[in-house]
Amino acid sequence: MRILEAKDLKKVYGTGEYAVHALDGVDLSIEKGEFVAIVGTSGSGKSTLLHMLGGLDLPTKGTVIVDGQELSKLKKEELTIFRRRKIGFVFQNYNLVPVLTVMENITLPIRLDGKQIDETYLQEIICTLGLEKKLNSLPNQLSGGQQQRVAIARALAAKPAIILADEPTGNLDSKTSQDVLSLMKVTSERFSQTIVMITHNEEIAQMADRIIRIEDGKIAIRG
Amino acid sequence: MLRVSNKTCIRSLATKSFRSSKSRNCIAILAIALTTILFTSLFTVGLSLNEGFQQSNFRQAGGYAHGGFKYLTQEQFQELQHDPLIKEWGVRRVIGMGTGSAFRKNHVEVGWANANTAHWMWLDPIEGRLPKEGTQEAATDLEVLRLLGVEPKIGAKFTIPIALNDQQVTEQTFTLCGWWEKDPVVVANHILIPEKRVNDILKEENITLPTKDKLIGSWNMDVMFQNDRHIEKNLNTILKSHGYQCEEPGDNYINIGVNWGYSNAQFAEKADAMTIIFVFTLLALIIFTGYLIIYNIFQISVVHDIRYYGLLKTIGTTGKQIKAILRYQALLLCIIGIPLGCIFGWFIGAKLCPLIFSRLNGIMVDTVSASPLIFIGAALFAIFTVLLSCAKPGRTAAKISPIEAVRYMEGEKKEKHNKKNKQSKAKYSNSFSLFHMAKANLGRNKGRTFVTILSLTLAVVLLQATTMFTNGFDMDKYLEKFSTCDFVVSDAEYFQNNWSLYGQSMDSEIISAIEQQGGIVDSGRVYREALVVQDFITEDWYRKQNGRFYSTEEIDEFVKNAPRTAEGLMVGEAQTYGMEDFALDHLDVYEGDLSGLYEPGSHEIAAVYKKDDYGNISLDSHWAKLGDTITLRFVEEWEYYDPKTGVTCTDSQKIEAEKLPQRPTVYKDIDFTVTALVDVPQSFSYRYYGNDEFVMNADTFKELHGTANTMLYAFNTTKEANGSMEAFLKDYTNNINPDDDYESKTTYQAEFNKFRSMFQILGSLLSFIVGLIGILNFVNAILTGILTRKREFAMLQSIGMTGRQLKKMLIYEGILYSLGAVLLAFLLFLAAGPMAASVLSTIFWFFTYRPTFLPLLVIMPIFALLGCIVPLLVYHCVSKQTIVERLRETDY
Amino acid sequence: MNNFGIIFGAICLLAAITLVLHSHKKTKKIMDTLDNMLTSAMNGNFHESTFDESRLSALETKFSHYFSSSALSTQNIAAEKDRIKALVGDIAHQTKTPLANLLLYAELLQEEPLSPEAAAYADTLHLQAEKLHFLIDTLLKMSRLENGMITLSPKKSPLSPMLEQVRQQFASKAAEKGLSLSLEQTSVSACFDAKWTSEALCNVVDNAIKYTEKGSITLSVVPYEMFIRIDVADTGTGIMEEEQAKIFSRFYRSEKNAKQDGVGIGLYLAREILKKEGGYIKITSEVGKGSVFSLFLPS
Repeated sequence: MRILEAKDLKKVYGTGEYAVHALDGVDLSIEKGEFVAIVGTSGSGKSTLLHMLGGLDLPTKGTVIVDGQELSKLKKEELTIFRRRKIGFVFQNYNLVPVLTVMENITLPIRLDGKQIDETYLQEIICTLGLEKKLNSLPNQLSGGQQQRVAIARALAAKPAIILADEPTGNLDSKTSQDVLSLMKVTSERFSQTIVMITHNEEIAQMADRIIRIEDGKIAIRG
Repeated sequence: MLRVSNKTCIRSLATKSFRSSKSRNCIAILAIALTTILFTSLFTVGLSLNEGFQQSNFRQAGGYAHGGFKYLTQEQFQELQHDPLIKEWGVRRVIGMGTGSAFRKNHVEVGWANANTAHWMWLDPIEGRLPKEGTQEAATDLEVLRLLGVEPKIGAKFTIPIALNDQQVTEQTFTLCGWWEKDPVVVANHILIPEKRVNDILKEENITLPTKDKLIGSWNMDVMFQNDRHIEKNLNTILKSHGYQCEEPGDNYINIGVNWGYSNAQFAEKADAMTIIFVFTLLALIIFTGYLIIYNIFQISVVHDIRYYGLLKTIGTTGKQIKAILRYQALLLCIIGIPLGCIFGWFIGAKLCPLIFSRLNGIMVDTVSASPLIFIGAALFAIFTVLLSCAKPGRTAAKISPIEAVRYMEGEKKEKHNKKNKQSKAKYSNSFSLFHMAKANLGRNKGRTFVTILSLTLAVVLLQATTMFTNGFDMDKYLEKFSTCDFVVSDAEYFQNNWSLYGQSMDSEIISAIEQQGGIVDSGRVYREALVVQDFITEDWYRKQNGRFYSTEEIDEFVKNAPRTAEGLMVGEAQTYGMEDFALDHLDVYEGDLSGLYEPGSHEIAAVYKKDDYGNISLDSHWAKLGDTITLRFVEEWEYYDPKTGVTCTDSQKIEAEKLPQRPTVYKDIDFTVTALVDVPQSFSYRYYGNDEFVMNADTFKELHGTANTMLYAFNTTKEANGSMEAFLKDYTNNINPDDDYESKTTYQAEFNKFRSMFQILGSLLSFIVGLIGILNFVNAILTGILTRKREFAMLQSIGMTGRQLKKMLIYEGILYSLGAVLLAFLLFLAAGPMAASVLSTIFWFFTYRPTFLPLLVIMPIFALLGCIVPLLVYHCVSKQTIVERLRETDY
Repeated sequence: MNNFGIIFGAICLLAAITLVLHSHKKTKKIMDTLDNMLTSAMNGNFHESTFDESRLSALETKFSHYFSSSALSTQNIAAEKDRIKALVGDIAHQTKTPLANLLLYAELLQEEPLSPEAAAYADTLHLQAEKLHFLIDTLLKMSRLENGMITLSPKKSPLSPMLEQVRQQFASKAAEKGLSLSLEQTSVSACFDAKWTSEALCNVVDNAIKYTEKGSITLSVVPYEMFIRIDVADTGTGIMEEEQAKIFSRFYRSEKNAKQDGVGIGLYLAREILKKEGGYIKITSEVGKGSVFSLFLPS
């Protein structure tokens, strides 16, 4: 089952002579339950691609279809709501809400949607990510790795169609990175969660079921 | 559409982020409280004014009952009092008027009133109580006691002659059981006695009820309805439902009275366009100042937390939800700020009230309104301002695109641009200066810099304007108009604009007392009319004169019924002055020659034209032209008549019911020649406008009027005698005869200073508040400027900028802000000052533009100091963390 | 007249407000009911509660039909799966005895004096029989694992006994090929099921020995905060990146390794075992330099 599909994605910044082609015709399709890594050097357009896939930014040309929905056809507010229901994000800098506790951070997307919290599922996520003892802490009381685990839990909580991770270990030391990646791998398997992760680190990319290499805004090798 | 219920989530998010920004909350609460203070004090003053105006109307009307039925029989009274429309009733029965030498000047009503009526007429004893039934007791006011020479002591006995009607006078003795202070505005004095005593006196004097004129012994019922709307309609409905009416004389006729204090009372209704514009401008100004600061606080806090909002957006918070979060926080702030503001605002308003009211003649205010309307209104306006202020920041936060927010740096694009400029500059001049950097920093967010500078400027401009405004009040101009001579002496009533045209002569003892003092250089009297004087005018003039007061339909009605002379002229009312030489000397002759008026017995006359405040004669303010021969009619006796039949009427009930007109029966017509067109200075005039005025020789005047009623006595003294005369008059009018009063140049000076100080106090208060807001804004701008750049500073320091250099740069920024504001204010004044001055001098005739930049000079160093201290203080707080900490901090 | 107008207007307004509120309430009720129905259906305890003429009741029945049919189809799929698994199990089980006999007789045959030609046939027969035995054995384990017939019971215990046991088990096999098999000592504990993890590890080590011609195979342990990593590093041929993801799939065999014996199920089994334990397996490899298989176990 195809969960994410991008067709002929192009993103151009600037115009004319100074136009920068951040993405230059990317075709991509990701199956449900896959753990895909997008690898590229900085400036290769991988972040731009991730932003497009997550509906954070609109492409200049081309379409992105997530779970059967073409993103460009949604209005701004619709897109936001779509995002909170269908897409989970994990960022390099964690981006937790500093004033909320870990538990509140994790459940935020669900509560934003006014949905009932699935307690058993939530407990499972929390156990898997080893956050049982930290639920009432504030983000700034946690280590980087712990914060990122909270971010993963938050991304998982809404049972999104896909999780997009942008250099999830970019701010972590190699040991902690390994943990975070392991967790992503394990959760992707345990919850059959589709994960798309971008990274510049080859070794990290090895975790994935599939590696997509991007160079100069184009897909170079498909894994 | 049914929505998913995520309100609780939004609310908890709002509350959490609310708690985390404590310093912003403090400043915002302060700002909201300030705004509310401004609104509350404005409304307090306004409503107190309105209530005070109403109150003083009631006092002039003699009570605050909604209305009443007059001259009822006992049966009628008992029948009507149970009407369901009536919420409360009170009753009063007058037995007669206090007469005798003691009450020569006073209108003293003797009668019984029940507790309600007494209360509604402010006849509440401050000492003792109201008389008890079946006793010989009486209660009255202190003025009556003073006139009678009775010590205010419970149980004191006093005797007064009471006039029951034109013929009967009875002497009655009472025992004092209570007294109250007489309100100077209320016309009549009252002596209250028990109802049984009223009946006893009637029996004693063999008067049977109802009397012919119904004045004596009848029941006057005052009523209160559910509310003060439709008073007249309610009264009529009650009459109708009991089979009475108030239009035609007859058996079922009952006279009604509506308290005109209600129909006439609302100051707001009477307010002219100027006042309304003034109030709205003030409201707008408050909203604007409040908006400036609250907006700034929220905008700054949004910019500060932009990553946070962007993050929420990434997770899936919609723009609407973000706006709701902000709005919810704003409302939380309101919950704390508004009550605070209401309380302080009310106290400030209460303090301001007397200050302002002392300037408004005719309104006596001793209470400050505490109507809930003030607080509701102020709260609503404050909430409106707050919501208005956080709308734009809300939009900013809602619009922020999630990826940008994730790496948001304020004014990023502009910064890049500036960097380019800086680079190119560096290439040519090869110089880097902290000052340029500071300038570039201010340019990052031009909007905010502008708002900050503007709000600082506003404070400076207001202070400057106040100073200039009060400075421009020209005492010479003011005195020139109001006081023509050193002293004017007359009845106290004359100065209070609270007297009838055909009053008594003023106290002559004071004149002889003054003359005994010596030091008088020149003096003279002005006489007031004893008879009604009529002149003959064209219909056009009649219409023009009355057009200001009545509607066209009403005038048509008057004109139709008015009697006319053989030539078709109408009868108008004239006011004549009899002036002695000293007063004539002070007349301002516009055209012609006054010399004829100095001749006793001369029939030359001067027509009084009006001048506006700027000294220009208005040519259409009088009908008489130079050289005209005019006829004046001096009326000695009148009679009522029915205009339809022309028959003389004596039936008092009919006269009252149909409002019959009067006509002269005994009169003389005298011809005069107009030899001059003049202006009578304010201090010699009747101080009453509306009638055609003429000035004639004092002796001619006395002869024609048959008496010499002195209106005022005016005189100049030698410079040396001036002070002692002032002291003498002050002592005399306060201690020897309080009914006398005087005006002197010094009085006017004091009045002028009071007037000026009101503006000074109000102006400085306003500029203080706006200044405070401006400074708050400034602190805020600096604070956030530093907070949002914390990381950047750390970066600068990490590459080698010393803390000293950094502080220097921040000080430059602060000084740019503050001195920018002063400079802007200065430029504004150079540009707009003269224009504003010309506007002001059209509003205030005694205004002279005197440019001064003293306030600017005073403010400049203060602001410069602020510009240095504020950034330093803020930086001091920030720099406690190490560079690494700061570099890391914004990183979550 | 005027009063009448006002009253009429007020009544209309009131009526309109009431109507709007009422319909809002009604819609809310319907939504709530639907929500409840779905929630109970998701929890698997949906049942019809009303039986009347209302549309809601009809809708409930329709829902009920839909849920029961979808439940039925899920059941069918599961049953089908079960049958397949049973079949595999049966095959594995039922072939056990004939296979054992086959092996036994092949060995007996080898002991008989045979012509060199016949001896070679007997050897091949024995080898193939062994291979079949291994294959069926593995399939049996797999089917049991997938079937849930056996569940893993991970317990927190030290790793070194298991590692030592694996080393000893393969020491001779490695020595046969002239490879050194070393184990770095460790005191780390992890959360694992000793029997099955050892099975997985054996498969990985076996694989490493199989594809390494010379050099060494090293077992080492790296602890993290949440995971323990067991590395099996060899100095073999290495695996190309395109192949790396595939080697863990069922019956995958690299073309260049076609001549090697093996069925391509060992790594798959290892992966499944680790997955069941809350861990995973990954490979880092460079062609010509060898590979590192990392087994991640929750700590």
